[in-house]
Amino acid sequence: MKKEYDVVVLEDGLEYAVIDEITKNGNTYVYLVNVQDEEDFCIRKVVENDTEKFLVGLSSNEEFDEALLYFVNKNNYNLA
Amino acid sequence: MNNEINYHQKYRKARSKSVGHAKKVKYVKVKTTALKRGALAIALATMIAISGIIYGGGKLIDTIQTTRIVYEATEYGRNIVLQNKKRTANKQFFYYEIDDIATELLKDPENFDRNLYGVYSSIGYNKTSQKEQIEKVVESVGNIAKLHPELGIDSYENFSDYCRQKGFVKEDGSIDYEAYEKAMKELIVDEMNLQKLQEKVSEFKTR
Repeated sequence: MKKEYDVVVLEDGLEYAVIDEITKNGNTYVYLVNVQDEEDFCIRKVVENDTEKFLVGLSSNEEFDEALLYFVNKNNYNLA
Repeated sequence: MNNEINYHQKYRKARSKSVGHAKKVKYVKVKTTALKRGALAIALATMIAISGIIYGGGKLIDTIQTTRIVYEATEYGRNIVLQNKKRTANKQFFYYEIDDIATELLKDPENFDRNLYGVYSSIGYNKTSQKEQIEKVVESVGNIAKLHPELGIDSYENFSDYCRQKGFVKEDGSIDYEAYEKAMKELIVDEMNLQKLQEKVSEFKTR
């Protein structure tokens, strides 16, 4: 049986599958893959107020690099 | 070489789609889906490939170590925030005991900058809230510091004033938060390396 992934819609109107969530340093990063194009992916982080959760853009290019590394490390791929 | 160029393009595209404060959507799961056969493997391979392209082994290790060092070094500041985050009486909202956070920060004046960065990195529920709260925290620190000059903490008006005095200002006069964050990470790593060197020298001298 194929694994089912949650799907969200981003600002571009496209559907993205949530392939992973990783919490580091107080931030929860969400790893998203375009349902129609598996090489098209992005990373967002979760912020929440008292009633709702949002997916927001990362703060800097450096944060993107770090978030990408969290994902790579979690999946046990050793690039060193 | 073509593959490398291709992965650089993918990296830039992914980064461009990921970074930016203007990007914000409600986190609503609209449905579930199974990915196409092999799609997940391709997605993972792409992410891993661009990581490998962008980072040489040494840089990768440096980044991971820096992240770990900074996280551990800022634990005190993060805990201050955690302990002073309170629920309103009706349990609907939360708020911060700003003066208590400021008081705690002043208990360790020697490591004030590092602990302040710990508070900065964990306060607020989004970037706007973070900036509002940290302004108040440093304002409160300044008010207390005025009354207790023996602590040796400069009396900053607020966090913006702190950043200006430290030189984290863009050409247009606005606060350069990215420069502040980068400098604090470097400072924390430098402090740790310095401490290790001092320990090494001390150990040698006592042989």
